[in-house]
Amino acid sequence: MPTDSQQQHRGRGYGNRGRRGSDRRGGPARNQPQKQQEPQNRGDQVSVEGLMRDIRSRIGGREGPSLSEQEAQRLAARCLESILDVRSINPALMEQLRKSVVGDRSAQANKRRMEPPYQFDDKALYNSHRGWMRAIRRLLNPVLKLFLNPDPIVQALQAQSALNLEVARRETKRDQRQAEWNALHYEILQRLVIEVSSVSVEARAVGPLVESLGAKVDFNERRVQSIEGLQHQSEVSALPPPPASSQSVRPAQDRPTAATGSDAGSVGPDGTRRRRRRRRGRRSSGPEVTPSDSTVLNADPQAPGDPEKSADGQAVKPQGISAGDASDGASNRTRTAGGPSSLNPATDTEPVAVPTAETHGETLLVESPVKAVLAETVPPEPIEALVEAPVGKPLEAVTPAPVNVAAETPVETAGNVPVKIQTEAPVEVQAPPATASPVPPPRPMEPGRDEQ
Amino acid sequence: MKLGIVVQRYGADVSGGAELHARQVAEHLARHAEVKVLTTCARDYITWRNEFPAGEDSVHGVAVERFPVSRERSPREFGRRSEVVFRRPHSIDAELAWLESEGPVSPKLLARLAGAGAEFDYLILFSVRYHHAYHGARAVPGRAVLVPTAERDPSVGLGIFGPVFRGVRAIMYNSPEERALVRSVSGNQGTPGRVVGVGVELDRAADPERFRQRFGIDRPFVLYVGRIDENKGCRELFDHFRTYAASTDRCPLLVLIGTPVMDIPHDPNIRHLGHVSDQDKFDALSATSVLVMPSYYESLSMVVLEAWAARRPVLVNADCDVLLGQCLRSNGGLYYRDTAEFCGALDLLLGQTEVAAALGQKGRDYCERHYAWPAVETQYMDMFTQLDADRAPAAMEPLPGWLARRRRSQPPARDVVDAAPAGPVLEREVTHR
Repeated sequence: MPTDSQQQHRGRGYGNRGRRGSDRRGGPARNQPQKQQEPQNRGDQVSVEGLMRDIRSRIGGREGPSLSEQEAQRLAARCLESILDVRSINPALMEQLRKSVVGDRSAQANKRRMEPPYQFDDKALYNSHRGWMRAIRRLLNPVLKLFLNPDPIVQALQAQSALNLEVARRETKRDQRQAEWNALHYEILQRLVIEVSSVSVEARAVGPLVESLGAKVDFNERRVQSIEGLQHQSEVSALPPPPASSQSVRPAQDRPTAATGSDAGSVGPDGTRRRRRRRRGRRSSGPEVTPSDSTVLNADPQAPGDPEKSADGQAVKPQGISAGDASDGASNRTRTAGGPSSLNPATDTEPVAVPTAETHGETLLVESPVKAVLAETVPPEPIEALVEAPVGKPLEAVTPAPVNVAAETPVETAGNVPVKIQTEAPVEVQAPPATASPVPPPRPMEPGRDEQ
Repeated sequence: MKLGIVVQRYGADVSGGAELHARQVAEHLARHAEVKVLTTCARDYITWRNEFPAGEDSVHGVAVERFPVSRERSPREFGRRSEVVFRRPHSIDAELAWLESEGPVSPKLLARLAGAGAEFDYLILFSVRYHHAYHGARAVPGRAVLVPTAERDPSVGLGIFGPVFRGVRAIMYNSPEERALVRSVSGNQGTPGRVVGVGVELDRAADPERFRQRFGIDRPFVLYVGRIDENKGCRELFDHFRTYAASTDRCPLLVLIGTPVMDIPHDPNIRHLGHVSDQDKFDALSATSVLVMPSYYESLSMVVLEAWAARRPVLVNADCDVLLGQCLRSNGGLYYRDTAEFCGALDLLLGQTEVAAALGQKGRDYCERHYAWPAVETQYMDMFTQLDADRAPAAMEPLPGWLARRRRSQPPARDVVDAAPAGPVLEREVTHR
């Protein structure tokens, strides 16, 4: 409802919006605050209606907006209707319920108005509002009894009167009970709908909070990973240079690590204790591979939900693909932590399987930045040496092409161990020049300043 | 010019709005014409018991002729008949029976009126709802000038009064609201009529200090003057006032002047003075801060006019159209519909003395324009002059025949009045002609 000032504003034409008075361009009065309108109730300007308006506005200010019962009912009904979902709840049902409540109340009022019920006594037959008529009837009553006996009629009517009374009483009680039930049902339903509505609103408010917390968890994961990568890089640089490439592609079964069922997650091949990383719950259903100090990333034997884990936490079977497994054509696929479903398209640091000299054909999951991880894990020899060119095809024709890891293009290492690179986004692995100079060490990610 | 004033009771000590109105009109018109008052011997308006001696008398220099009442009023019978005619469909005969039970029935007075012939130029009949006024107007319709003093009560809707409103020579109304009501229920637009009311003494000497000293009142007070009766809204007045007293630390006194017909609550802030002299009343009016008038039904509140004459603001019940209209037209008082408005209005009138004084002055101005005695006398005399110039109308509509009078053809009088337009007449300056 527009206010008075709005109405006045609307009433003015477009061309009349500016002030036309003497103070149009400003003046002494322009910057003065407008005086509050004085009530026109001083001296000769007294106005009873103005005074009463003031009094009523003061009363209204003290008491707040007062709603009549009808207004409150209308507001309550409107609230309920706006909350109800008409697709799932029949609106006619609510209307019927509401009508029944209102109807029962009015019926109650009618019943109350109808009381006292019809009554009949033995003098009712001869009653009249005229006294003389009553007297004549009384006088002629013996004459009437000569013709008929009115006593049975009187008794029957008296009995009927008593029955009427009893029936009316019973019906009133039944209606009252029904009205109470209806009112109770209506009240319960209304409260229920309001509760459901408030819960849904609350759930809607909680949604963004969950997403925000998820983003924080992702961030923390990436941060932990980058720190681990930094530590790994420093340790790798401290190690003596790796042996010949033939050693680096040694079959996995020669190694006493994950393929032999040792605790890959606890002690590395060099005897150092491996660091475990707790992954997010949704990724913890499968084995987890993290870069370790020896760059061998094995499945996390303590991943929850691992059916092949013993009670004491020892990995019964390694989750990574061993060299023996790799010969199996059916399993000639890269397993990633948590399986394909664990890949989160929202994150840009998804694990990438990278063949290294020490993985022995296992699929490695390395999180981005890919180049940084590759720089750590790629052996000194150029990557071209690891990539087996198709027969009859020059190497150059293969290596420059981008490796679409999402398509799970099989890439075989020089040791005939199939290694796959798997990631969601296509990752271009730039083939180094033929001189195969060592990849420069990546710039470590600053803690607290990652992709965000 | 010879004028007869016919009223149900008359006397210097007879209280009551219509009776006082008649006495004041008689005394002031006596300056312009020869006036004789024709009345009954009754003093009590409930029983109409004959208390004054029948025959000639004189009150304040005005000749009075009293006639005995033939039967006293039975409140029980009157109540029963009122129930019939006000709430149920009924016959003309039932209405006439109601009028008989209402009284005062004085066959000798009616015979005197019928036999007066050319003794009086005009007979001014007060209070149409009483037996003497109805039958007097029927007896001498060509000379009857009616002062109906009609309130918005169901009796105005009775069918027997329609021919009277349409058949008298003229009607002197007390307020525009009364005129609107009578015209609505009777359709008497052709009958000459004026809104005259009653005059007030504007320059009556009054001493507020005398009143304070005499009654030992040393703080501001609110005044009520009139019969202390539930029908006058006094119960609501007490409730509202006690609520206000509980909500403020500058509670005034409520001073009551008049005869109580209900219990007055025992409250240190309420003081009842009983019946006081006119001088004390005017002293009280000049000493009070506010005059309060809680009545629901008024045709004209004389005490409100007297308060305005004393330059005092009033606080009236807004459910009474006449009082509300008076306040709105005069700007001389505030009104209330509930406790909150009563408290707010009273707080303003007591707290803002300049506003209260301005309201009182407005009321005074309004009285000077419309209710000064010279203006009222002029209105009456102008009306008589106008009637002299006009031709007398045909005889009043006769009563229906014997059978028609007994047919239940009349609707409940309350329904008739309820259907009439309500509310104050809002023109600032009502044409009093």
